[in-house]
Amino acid sequence: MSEFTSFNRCLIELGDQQIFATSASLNMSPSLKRDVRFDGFSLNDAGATVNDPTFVPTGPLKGTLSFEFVVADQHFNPIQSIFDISDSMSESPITMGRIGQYRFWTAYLSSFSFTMEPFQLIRAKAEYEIFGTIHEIGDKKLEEIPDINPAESLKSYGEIVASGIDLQDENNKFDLRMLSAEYSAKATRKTTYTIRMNEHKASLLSSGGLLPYRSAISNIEINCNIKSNKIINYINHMGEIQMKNPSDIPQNVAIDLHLYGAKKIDVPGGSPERQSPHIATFSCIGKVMSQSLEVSTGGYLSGNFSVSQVVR
Amino acid sequence: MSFSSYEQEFVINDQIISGISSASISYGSSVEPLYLAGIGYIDSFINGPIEGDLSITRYMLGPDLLADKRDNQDLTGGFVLGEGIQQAGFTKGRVISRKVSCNIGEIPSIDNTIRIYGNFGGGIDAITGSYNDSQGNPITPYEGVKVDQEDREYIIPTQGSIAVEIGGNDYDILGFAIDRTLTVEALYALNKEHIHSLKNYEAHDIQIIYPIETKLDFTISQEDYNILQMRELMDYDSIKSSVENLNVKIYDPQTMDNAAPIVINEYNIVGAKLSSVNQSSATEQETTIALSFIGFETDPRTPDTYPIEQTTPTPSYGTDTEGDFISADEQANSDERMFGGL
Repeated sequence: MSEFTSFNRCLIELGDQQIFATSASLNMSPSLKRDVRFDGFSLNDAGATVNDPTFVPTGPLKGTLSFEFVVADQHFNPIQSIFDISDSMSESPITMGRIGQYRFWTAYLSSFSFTMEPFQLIRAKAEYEIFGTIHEIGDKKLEEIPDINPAESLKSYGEIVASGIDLQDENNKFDLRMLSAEYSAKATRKTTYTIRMNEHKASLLSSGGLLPYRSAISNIEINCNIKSNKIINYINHMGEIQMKNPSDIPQNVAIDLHLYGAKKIDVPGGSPERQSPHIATFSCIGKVMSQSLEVSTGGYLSGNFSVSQVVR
Repeated sequence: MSFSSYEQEFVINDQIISGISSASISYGSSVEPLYLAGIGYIDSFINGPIEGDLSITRYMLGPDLLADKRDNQDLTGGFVLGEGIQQAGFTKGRVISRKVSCNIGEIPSIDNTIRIYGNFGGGIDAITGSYNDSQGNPITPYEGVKVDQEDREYIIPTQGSIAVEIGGNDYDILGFAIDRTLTVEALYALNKEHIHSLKNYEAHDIQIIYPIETKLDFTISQEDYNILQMRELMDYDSIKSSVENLNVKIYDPQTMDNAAPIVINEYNIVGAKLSSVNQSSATEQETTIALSFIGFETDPRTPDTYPIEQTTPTPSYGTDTEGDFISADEQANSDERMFGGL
């Protein structure tokens, strides 16, 4: 066996889930600062003395884990908690995971995002905060190759509705065509530690002893960036669509991104009998935060607009 | 059953294209393999649109059958084998390149490239219409287009039967080559209709990137040519007068003695500028001048920078000149007007 682990043998797991990752990275570092302080007085020098300078910890061993992966049925239908950023998401950590032969512990999901554009598989990215140490463990081989049906962009689609108007309906004045979409959800956490636990003698005996007591979710935001042939018309100062008709009540812009698998599967009694499976739908109902138009030589006018939703 | 190359017939918009000396169709997409950590290769997935090019080289047999096909006109077609036994068609294509080469004493040749955006292959009819015979009885589509095909003959240009029209005057030329190639961009959107099948997806929009560049090279005898002061053309004072619409005409040699000779094919270069002149003299040969012009066609829906008096019919491969801008009435009732011009 080679001393080097190839990508094909580098299994990535989070909790009990194998991640269909195309790339992954993990980095971690202790929080250290230089410690120099007065520790006495020298009669010979007629001045203060300092300790031997060193680094001392100011926080726990902390890192980040991120990986890019393909969206597939196994993790998103229903969505697994390891990727779920929603109002009902769990504060509990994912207790352990693996990159190749390295085991990490205590991971908290901090962001999830994916991109849709024609002729591309839908590739997602997830980021986690991880705490504690790293252990090298044995290699692991899959018992069997999973049957993966990744979500494909051209089979997937997006819907944009505002004030009851389908902005993609070619029979109204919007007739918006979605060229690409980026969805991202971010959870900001407040991590707390107990003084008593972290000063316990155990921290001297184990490298992985200092862990957060709680990682509370302080806020959650969802953002959707759309590239299209048009931008949002009739936008008001609230970031909402306000038509000229007074009976139209300004409403948030609602974007639904429906993800479908690339390959067809048998659907008994379905019409047609073989269909691309619906994998997941992600929604963002919020305000238009920004939008822009651009055109350049030899190109066409295209717009970008961003819709954000505060979940918590 | 096998088919020789003599048994193929190419059809565009239910017209058999005659005089073809070679044709090729390329059709495909790029594929990207998916590798996953801990597994390796999973499968391959397309990562670009499936498009193709149908390239046809043909001898000019009478009027050019594709000359009236507009730049933004969607075409159907394909090839037919064994008198209609087999067909491989395409559902949507556009002419993106037109090249003509014509010299005295040679059969003129035409090269066309048709970009295929829609579906292509067996099971798709190259001939889409339904036909009846003279008694009204239904006949096969192949028989139908065969009946419509008129007899077409080779034409070999003679001295004086090729001319370039500049400023309303015809000048006899010895030969020419014209190349008009479009730059097009196909746009694909994330539409709902693709959920269960990617078989029939097509580009949501196909945009022509203007200007359309047309290159015309022609050779003229020294005796018919007044040497230009080339540097005058580079002077911005004369920039308007140095832009001209040109017409190249191929006359039927057999009608050259008539008062009004018959024009078999005519090609227009819009807003042409002279780019180079090359005089060549050799012993025992006629002294000739080779001139190169480049014309730029702008979007017919936008105003020309240097409007030219329309002495010649242009553009030759008419795009929709009216365009899809809203009308004056629609503009008057538009939201912009209702909001007081905000």
